[in-house]
Amino acid sequence: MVEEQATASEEFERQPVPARSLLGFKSFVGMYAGEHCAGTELMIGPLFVASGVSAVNLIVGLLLGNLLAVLSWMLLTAPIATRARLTLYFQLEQICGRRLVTLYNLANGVMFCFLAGAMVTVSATALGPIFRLQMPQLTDLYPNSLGWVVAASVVGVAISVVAAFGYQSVARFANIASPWMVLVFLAFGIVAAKQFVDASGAQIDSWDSAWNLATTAIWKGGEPLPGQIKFTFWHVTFFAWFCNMAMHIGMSDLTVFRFARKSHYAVATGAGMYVGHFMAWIAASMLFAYQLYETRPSEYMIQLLRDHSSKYADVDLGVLHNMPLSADTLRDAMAIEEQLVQAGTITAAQKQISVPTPLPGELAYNACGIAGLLCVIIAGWTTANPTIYRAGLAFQAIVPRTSRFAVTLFTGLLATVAGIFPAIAMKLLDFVAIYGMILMPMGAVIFVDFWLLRRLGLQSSYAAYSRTTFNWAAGLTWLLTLAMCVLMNKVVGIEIFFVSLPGWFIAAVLYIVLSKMYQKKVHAEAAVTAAS
Amino acid sequence: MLRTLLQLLSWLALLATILPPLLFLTGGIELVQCHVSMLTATFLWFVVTPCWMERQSAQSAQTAEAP
Repeated sequence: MVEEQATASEEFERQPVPARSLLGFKSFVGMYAGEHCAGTELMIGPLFVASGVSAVNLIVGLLLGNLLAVLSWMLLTAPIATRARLTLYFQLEQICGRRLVTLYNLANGVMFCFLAGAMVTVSATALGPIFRLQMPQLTDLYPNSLGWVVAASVVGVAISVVAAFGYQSVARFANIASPWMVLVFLAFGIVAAKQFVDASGAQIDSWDSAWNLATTAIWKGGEPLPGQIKFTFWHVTFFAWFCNMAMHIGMSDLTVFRFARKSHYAVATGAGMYVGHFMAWIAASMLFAYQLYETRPSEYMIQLLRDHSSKYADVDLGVLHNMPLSADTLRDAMAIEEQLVQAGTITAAQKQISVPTPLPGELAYNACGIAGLLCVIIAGWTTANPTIYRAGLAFQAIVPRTSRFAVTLFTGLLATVAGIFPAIAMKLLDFVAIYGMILMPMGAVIFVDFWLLRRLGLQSSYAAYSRTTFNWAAGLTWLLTLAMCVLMNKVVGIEIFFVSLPGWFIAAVLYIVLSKMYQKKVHAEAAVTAAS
Repeated sequence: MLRTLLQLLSWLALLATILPPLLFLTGGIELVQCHVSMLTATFLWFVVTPCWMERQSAQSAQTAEAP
């Protein structure tokens, strides 16, 4: 173990990892369990509830989606990682050439910045209950108060400065915090379950009665909240499968599994998936479901509904007052307000109906008190830290002469600006799907290059072979695949959560066809040059 | 010996983090008591654990790599 620790710190950026530096199975279990119990889980779980997910779709969808994710690591990433034992960047450089990898780094760095921005947003929500700040709403794209801008800026700058000065210290702190964080996430779910039992008056004395509470009170399904799209079984499955798409199908984790003694060690990713993306998502979703369950329509909303909708005119006032706020009621009230604005009865500024917002800080505080708040801050901070650092490394590859300190600080400040805008966190489900889609084609390029090109009579690692700095076959594969995915989304109407599956096959076929054309053209040009 | 004692305290802190929510679930304690117990356990965990937990893991292998 001591030897493992010593060797793990060696980086082997431009050479295969030697046998003496390989790591055991336990190292990967700990790493994945900790890394996937992050601040963003506190946003993703509640967004499932906001998307009207039902209990069976959530649980079975997560079981299947996470299994597919683990299999993707085991069957796509790890077999290549344990054979080539190279970092993603070096392997891509061999295939794509230096200039194309620079473009990839730029895209990767920008995506990491936005992701870190979402983590800053999550951490900043922890300041809400402490300083009584006005927090952003679920439908907000821009910051809605000065207090929020200050809160997000303070948190973001603090995270950035610490990442620039002491990345390794925070990484060590993250390792220490990890077991405690996992238990606090579990505590969120346990406390929320009890709160549901008390609020609903349900008697839980059997599996059936617990399941009945889950389906009728916690994850009721039905319409999503206004501004959210409806999540079905397939949405949950594909989201769970593809939310780390950049890491498995996109091959980012080649860099991790190049240290694995055996390819099957990738099964360790199951620890991250079923702790972070199953237990933590379910627990976090219960916190928001309870907030919704306890939210009652305001006097203003009841008056609005009774005065302007025949559907509510005859409903008993007592029933309306005690009815948990539903997506349907909210939509009805918002539609009435909109009609009143269009009729000139009220102005847009006078609209009062707002959608309940999942604010991780408040949710965690209500469930677990200050320990819950600390969990939100630490989960956001410890995961934003490596994300900012990785984004910094990606940018530094583009401008190598800049110091790592300066580039990490700059990256952190970019993430802070992104974090001030709540849009990324509030639309995190969509952002995560786009993030995976953008980096996915390069994963298909690596897969085809490693397993298929030589069997098809083509040259693998073509950039290294031909000394080109921009492999057009790979570059066009990337761009055309993204264009096809956008078309499938905008023209054909395939939702963003699903396009990456056909996208991967499109990228694989494109890379084979384009390589055939490109390698022939380059060989022909080389022959002409040699002859002349 | 000291290391074993510290590890034992860390385990106790983890137990004290998850036990209060379970007691709250079964109706054994109130939510406020649960919050106080969890905060105490959190304090204990973060004071004791850094004294013994090994400081490197495979994570450093991942995050320290340059593009």
